[in-house]
Amino acid sequence: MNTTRCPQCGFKAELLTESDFHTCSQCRTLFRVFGGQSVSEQYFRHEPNDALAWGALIGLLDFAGAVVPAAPTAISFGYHPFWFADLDNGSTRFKAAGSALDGYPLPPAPPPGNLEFPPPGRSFPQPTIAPETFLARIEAPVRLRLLQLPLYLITFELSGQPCQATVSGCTWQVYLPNLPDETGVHVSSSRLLFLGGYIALLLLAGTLAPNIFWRSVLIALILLAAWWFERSGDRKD
Amino acid sequence: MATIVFKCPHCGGPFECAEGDRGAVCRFCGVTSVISGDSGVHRLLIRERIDLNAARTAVRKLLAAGESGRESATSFSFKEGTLFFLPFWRVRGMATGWQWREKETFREEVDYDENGTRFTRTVKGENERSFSLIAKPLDFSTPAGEYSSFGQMRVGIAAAVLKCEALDYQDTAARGTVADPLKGVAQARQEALAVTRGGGNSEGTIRREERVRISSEWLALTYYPVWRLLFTRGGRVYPVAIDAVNGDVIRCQFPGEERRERFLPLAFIAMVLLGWTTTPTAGVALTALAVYLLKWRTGTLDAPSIIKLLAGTSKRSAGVQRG
Repeated sequence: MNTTRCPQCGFKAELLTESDFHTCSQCRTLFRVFGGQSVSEQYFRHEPNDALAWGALIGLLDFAGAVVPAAPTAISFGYHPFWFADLDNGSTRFKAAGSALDGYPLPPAPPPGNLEFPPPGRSFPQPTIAPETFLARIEAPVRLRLLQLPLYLITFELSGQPCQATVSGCTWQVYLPNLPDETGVHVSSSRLLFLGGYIALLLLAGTLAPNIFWRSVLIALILLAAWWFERSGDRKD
Repeated sequence: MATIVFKCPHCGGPFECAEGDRGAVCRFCGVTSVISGDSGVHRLLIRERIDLNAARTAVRKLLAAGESGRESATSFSFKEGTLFFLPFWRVRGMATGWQWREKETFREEVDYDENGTRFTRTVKGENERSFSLIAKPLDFSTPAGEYSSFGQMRVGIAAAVLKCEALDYQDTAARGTVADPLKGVAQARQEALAVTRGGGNSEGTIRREERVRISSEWLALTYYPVWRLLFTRGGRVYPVAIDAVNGDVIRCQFPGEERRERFLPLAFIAMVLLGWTTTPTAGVALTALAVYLLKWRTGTLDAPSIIKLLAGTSKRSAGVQRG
């Protein structure tokens, strides 16, 4: 009879069926067995909010001194599986268990939070990297867990270059590779439109005014109006 | 992993189980026993001393003390706050053992060259071997997870000074999120022993053997309260971590205020256009004046600086950062 250790309570459970899924007879935890290795699946509860994730990213960019506004290309929220092993020597190993995160910066360690067992009926993405591959260079782990992390994968554009960032749904921590250097001068389209309109009005007033006195008065009035418009726009921001 | 011997509650026979096991079968009578408890690990809680309002006020005060002062403090809006209880391992006991070291030594010898000039040279001496017994009191604390998003906290000191109480999970979870420990006790022990060994690796040591273990060990998971607040401004989100015991802001990254020249760029454009729409001579004269004023204002005449000024590109003052 095959036996394995329950990943939740440590009880030596007998594997009575050929299925991958087993229930511990002591603590009633449902766990999976991959190649003789028992694995418990846990997740961090999170309510998705794309706006907050994007806000956390541009907040960090602002703090980093980015002058050019970043533009989002795609924001996708999802749970992503990670292998997490407690080893006999006391250390831990943490690695992405799926390929959906390819190209995105990964969290180096699990975030702090309340780990829960998935409720019945709730399914999470399954790992594409087998535990044998993850454990290839690791001696027998004491405990192997499949952690489902809520992550926002964000693709955005900064200085005309595509960038990728990952935002943790647990702590709103942003994982970001090196940012591209901001080169050249970047002027927003709304600012260009405002300046274009301002210059056009000045030219119109300058050419239509009958003499230097009225020209000066009109141009001064347009200048004051534009200044007031800018200040009011800043206050709204 | 330690092996623990229990007495079977049914037949009284001894049986063994590994540390962390929650169940074992008696090999004499076959009765399964459920083992409760946490293998000697105490779970302690340091209760929060400041509430959400006080945490918000602490952040506002920090912002108000920054370069942009009151303007900055009022520009950020509070969105939400969550209380986290972060677990820290605390290991106390006596680090006892022995240490053997072999150290290479050098001495200076005086010699004379063929011209009779005196010089000193360093000559390798005999290796020095030493054996010492270690008996050091140990009181070590380490985070039981990765808390870089919460900044650095010295919970070891706090737990020694502040009143700790036994963790009531239901009550604590009702007030905030109780984080799970992700670092095992074995790793905490190793870190504690590494601290004990620290400093023993003196210069010249070529070999070292040691066996150090913790005796009279007392283990605890101390849950420390930290507020995680979210502030927003213009669609941007700024997470802040506040020590819920003393109200210190332990981690925040607020950008400085944007400073933008509003009037000058508009005035330069108006001046140049006034000149060119009057007479070419006036246009040339006012353009020259504008260029002179631009150089005075920006300190340079390179195109990007002038375009940035005329386009109203903003500059940012120093922000507020902790952690």
